[in-house]
Amino acid sequence: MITLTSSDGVQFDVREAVAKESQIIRDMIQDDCVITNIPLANVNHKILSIVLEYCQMHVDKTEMEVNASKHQTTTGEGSSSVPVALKVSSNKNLNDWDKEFINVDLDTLYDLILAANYLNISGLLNLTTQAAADIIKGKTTEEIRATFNIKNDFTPEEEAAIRKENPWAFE
Amino acid sequence: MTVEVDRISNLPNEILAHILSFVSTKEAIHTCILSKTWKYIWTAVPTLEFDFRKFCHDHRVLDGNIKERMEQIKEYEAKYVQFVEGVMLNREALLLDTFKLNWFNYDCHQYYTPKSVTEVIPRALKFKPRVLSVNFHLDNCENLDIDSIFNSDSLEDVHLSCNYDLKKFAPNSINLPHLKNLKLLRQDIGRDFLNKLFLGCPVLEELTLCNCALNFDKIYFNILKKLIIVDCHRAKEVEKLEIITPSLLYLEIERCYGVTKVSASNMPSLVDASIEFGWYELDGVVIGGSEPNFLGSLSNVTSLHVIVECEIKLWENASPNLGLEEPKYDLSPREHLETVTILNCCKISSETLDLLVKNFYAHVRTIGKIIIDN
Repeated sequence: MITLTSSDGVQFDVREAVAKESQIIRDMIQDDCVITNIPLANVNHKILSIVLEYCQMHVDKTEMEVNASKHQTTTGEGSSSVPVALKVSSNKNLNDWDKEFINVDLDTLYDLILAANYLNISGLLNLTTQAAADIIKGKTTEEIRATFNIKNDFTPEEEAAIRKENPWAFE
Repeated sequence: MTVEVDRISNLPNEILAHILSFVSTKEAIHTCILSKTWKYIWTAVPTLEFDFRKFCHDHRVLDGNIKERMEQIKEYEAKYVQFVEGVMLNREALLLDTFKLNWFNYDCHQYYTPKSVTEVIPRALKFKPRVLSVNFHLDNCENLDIDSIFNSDSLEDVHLSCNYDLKKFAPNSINLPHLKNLKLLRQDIGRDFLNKLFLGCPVLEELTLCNCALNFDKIYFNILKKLIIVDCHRAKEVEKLEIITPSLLYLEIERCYGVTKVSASNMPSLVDASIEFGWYELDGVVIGGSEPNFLGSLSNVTSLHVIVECEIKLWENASPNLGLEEPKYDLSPREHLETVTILNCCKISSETLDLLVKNFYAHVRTIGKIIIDN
């Protein structure tokens, strides 16, 4: 077990495999194998609990698959079509689970992106940045500004100049 | 879904660029007028993807007769070339993760990829991409700088779909020290090219040949883990195909017309295979695909998919047992085969199917289950 402490002092006890979903924690444990308590200065307890929920789910699913294939090799006869089907359905479930998991408000999404980046959890970083990209997709410049509250700090002349400089991009 | 403060613009620039790698290149560029923070983010997007076919589709170019279509395509070609040029010239980031360029119009075969487009490839390779995906239709093989593609120390994943003759115009040398996955589509593949590939790709794990002409009789890769040969056809002068890939974990040979006499060396790690028996010859004659001891080389396969495209008449020929007789050489027996899935059974008669099933039971000692799937 490893204890992770959030920036606001809340402690989370998790299995080593779950913590190791984070590349940065994986490196720490590798460098110093007696480490058991890791303070995380950039993640508060609310976000950390969501991040750990993600890690827990992904570790569980992977372990389930490994167990299933082990079970299959020991029982032998006539069951080897099962793990393939299991794998497909569990991948599908995991994707569905991810989709549901990432259905959060924008503030939480930003925090998750920053946490995934800081902890270096590539799966979570891709999931969260993809979610942000999905919000951008298909929107006009005005709609994007409104959605994310981006203030247009160009003067109309500056904006026109950019469009004029790169006509190939805006035709 | 509005928030009070603009938090997205405060994310680190590399994260913003990462976000933009999931939207189209055009949409990514359009973010440059959102605000000053966003002005140059798109110039560092790790993924560039250009798809001329999609561009034509979006502009409804592909209606009308061939002559009208060609004129329209030419007009849009000029615009899209400008777009690609613009993106490449304005690029700020030194490195690139993925570069994809699709300039092949399935709907209009008379249209060839212009040289100005194929020349973008060597320029893109200067940004050291990890992944390269190219889809071209050439009127002249010399328009493509094939040496630049096959001599890149950054590439790990290459998808090359192109009517290129790798037999006649093989690269002078091949040096792809990090290449793990290579997919070749619509190409003529010769022996000389394969030899160079073997020598120049020390970590290649996955090789896929799709829609290719096979101008070789031997495929030798001692470290390859996955080999997929689908929808290929054999060149006339080639009589057999010998597969020597001792590290293979996965093998798939499907819909390969004219490819007969397939043999393989022992593949002790291979556990999953999908093999098609009974291929159509071009003149309609049907013969079995593999050498008698082919299955013997699949000694550790636990799951085998057998695809039967048509009636197998092997029993009338010299080899009575559909390649299931005991191996000629000292190969370990098929101790581990647990499941055989026979696919596409609707195409064969029930007598043939019966015979097939009986043969597997007779010759594979450990077989647990035969799944018959229509």
